[in-house]
Amino acid sequence: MASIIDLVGNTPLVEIKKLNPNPNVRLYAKLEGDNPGGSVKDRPALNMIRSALERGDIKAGTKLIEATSGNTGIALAMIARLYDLEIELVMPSTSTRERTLTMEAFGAKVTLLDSIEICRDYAEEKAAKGDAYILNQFANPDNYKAHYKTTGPEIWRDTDQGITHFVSSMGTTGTIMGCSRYFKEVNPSIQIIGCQPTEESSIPGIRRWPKEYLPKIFEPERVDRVMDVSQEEATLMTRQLAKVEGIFAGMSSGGAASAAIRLAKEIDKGVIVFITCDRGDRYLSSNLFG
Amino acid sequence: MDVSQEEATLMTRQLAKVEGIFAGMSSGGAASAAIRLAKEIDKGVIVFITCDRGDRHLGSNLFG
Repeated sequence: MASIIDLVGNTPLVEIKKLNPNPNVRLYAKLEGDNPGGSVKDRPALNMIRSALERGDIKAGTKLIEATSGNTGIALAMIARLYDLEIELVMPSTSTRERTLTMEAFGAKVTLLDSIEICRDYAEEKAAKGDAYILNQFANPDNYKAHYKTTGPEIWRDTDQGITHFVSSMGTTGTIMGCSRYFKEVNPSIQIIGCQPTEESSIPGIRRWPKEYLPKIFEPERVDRVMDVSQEEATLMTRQLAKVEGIFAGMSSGGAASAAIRLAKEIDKGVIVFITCDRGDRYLSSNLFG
Repeated sequence: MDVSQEEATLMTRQLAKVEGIFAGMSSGGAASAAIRLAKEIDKGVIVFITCDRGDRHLGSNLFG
């Protein structure tokens, strides 16, 4: 019988028909909000915890600490409790109230600080002192390996080996690093496209990282092309996804959708898959939906 | 079976904290009734419905 943990992954792939501008292109969204914790982050959270337990790096009763912009925290909070681990989550104070409440509902301690960079420093200092174990999603290979083992193969299977372009927003870059490794193995011609916010834009969950904070797992040569997406463009497309396609997702999903639709106009034919990272519910207290 | 608001609230919180199931208050009510029932019967297979996700209830004081 399935437990919550067994429900992570195997998310649906749905065809985007109305917003697809090119009849010779097939456009698909991978609905990662359908994971039990509500986002793509269930995959790395589960793989990081399970692998650390298997290696003996942590055991029941260990206290974890993690800097997160939200979704990873919710996933870790959900999964940590099921493995009897304590957890403290450190988030930027701009994180929505519902995120904090969700993490606390799963029994996590939540600390709010000024920016994600400060959160990362705080978590690393506390871990360095030996007060807690840091999974460090930004540097942990088990983050991208989750996508190498599951997300990539699922997309390959569900497109009947037909995917030509993969579009993903970049935060920790775990999704794109893992999927890129898998896709280039099965078909090196698959194009890997990463999305990042334009200079002035703020899109929760994804960053235009300053050099010194670039995630350690990020290897630029694994991304064929980077597309910049503005906050306004991502916001409008997030609303369109809900209104036109019935897909209620967060802003980074709108960003990836927007890049995928721009790409669909450029190419003659192909099969584009983009990732919708989470559900819109998490953003109702922001002004994303009005 | 009658379920009080308090009982449903507490069980909704337990579902999230202990089982990792983040659901709404009516789900907590059904869970609570199912668990009372489990104490009453000698043996059996009980299925209860969790109606929706906890996200929808974050604007209330269900989760504090």
